[in-house]
Amino acid sequence: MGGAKLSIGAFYNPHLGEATLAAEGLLDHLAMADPPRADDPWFPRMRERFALLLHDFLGQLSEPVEGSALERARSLLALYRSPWAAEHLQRVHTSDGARFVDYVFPPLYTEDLLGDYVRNARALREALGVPLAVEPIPTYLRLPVEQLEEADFLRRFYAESGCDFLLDVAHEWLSARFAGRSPRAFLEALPLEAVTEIHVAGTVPDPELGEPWIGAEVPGEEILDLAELVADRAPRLRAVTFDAFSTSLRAETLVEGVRRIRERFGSRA
Amino acid sequence: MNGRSLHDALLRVLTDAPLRRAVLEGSLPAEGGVGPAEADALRRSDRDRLERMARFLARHFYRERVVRLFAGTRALAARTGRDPLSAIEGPAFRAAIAGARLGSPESADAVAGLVEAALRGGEGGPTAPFPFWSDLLRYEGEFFRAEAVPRSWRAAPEPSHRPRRSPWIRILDLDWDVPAVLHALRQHAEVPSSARAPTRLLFAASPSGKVHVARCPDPLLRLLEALDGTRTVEELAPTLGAERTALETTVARLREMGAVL
Repeated sequence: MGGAKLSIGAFYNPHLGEATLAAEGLLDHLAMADPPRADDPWFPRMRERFALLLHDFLGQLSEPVEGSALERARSLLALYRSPWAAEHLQRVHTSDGARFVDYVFPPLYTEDLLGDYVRNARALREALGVPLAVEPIPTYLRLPVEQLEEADFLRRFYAESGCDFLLDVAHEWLSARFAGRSPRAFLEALPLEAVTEIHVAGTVPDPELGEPWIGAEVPGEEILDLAELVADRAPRLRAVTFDAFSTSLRAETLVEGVRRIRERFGSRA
Repeated sequence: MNGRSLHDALLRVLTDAPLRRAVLEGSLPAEGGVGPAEADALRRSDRDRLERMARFLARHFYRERVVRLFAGTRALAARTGRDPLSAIEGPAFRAAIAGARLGSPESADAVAGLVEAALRGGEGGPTAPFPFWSDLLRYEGEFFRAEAVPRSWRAAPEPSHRPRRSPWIRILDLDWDVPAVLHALRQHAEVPSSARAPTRLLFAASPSGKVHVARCPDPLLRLLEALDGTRTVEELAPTLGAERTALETTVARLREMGAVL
């Protein structure tokens, strides 16, 4: 994954190991959301053939990532030989750890939490000794208290922490939709100069939200158009990843999703 | 109130349906961990979105666990026509998550019961598709329930010198050696007849939420029963007829599993 060429890839879904190897010509890298199982027959070959990107849950960045969590992150980084680490800008458990959601969930965009995220993300990046790309989560529920705009929070977070921006186009498309704003204007307000990796995902109707949400589907044309818009304004962009990590993902969807991304970005790869 | 305290309160009400109802209806349960300023902000939020987000998170929470913890029966779904995920499509699951406290033993038990009912095929339903089917359901149901233990996101505290068995461990006696059955299924091999063997298993979850399963022969069961938090390993060794160093090794392993505190 050296040089200025754009790397195109997908998440590693162990149940699709055979199809992933067969799609070798389409894929440059694989993002690793979970450590490989000890009995995973495919992983050794994945490690040989593809660049692997660490995209596991390393820790909630509103709290320090230290002790066994930091050791685990270092160990995975070494296993994957990952050129950078990635983590979500999320808050999934309470300060005391008693309550947790076990799913991506955004923080509030307040000054005190901004300070915590900046301090802990910077410390994690320095402790790992590689760039740390941080990915925001869609905001569906906005509480009626004083908060920064998401774009302002992110601009300050990336500038003050020294972290890179992992921009999931579908996440920002959803945030714009939930806030009743134009996705294009929403994206253009973000600190795109900090983007080093883009995630591109499909969406499906969610029965509980009554709105779309991320799904294990091929990305639509609007998402791909927006991804190109981001890429045109992101001079440090190094990778585009088809963001589909699910046991329900089918091999045909994996291949078609990556193929569509390659159609759009192939000339840059 | 600051962002952290409000976000903590938000996570508490999103993951705890009874607390959410109480806070939104104007009361503040003392044990809920939600302060008056935070409760006021939550009451002024978009309630429809708050409820939708709570159901959304609950569905993901338990769907992920059904996929991961009922993996054996799920792998057989194409052959049995019974998919554990079918349990999360119906109105009973919707009712269960509407009142759930995510991660609690009670909610895990309610969801596991729905999955087990779907896999049994209902009253008067078809017979078990495999001779080991009933034990496989019991194993996976126990696995699912064992995962619902208090979670810690910090480094473990120093262990006590007087080890105590976790109140969350579960012991299961089976007619089939289900770990051997699962091993055969993962290899796409026939289940060997030798797998029909009385088997006792210990289920325990570490504070990180990882469930461990170990065989539990009589000596291990006696050890677990003796670990009541009142005696050191040195004091226990002679009463169990065990060598102290070996006992320390076993207790250390049980601690790693989350079976001993």
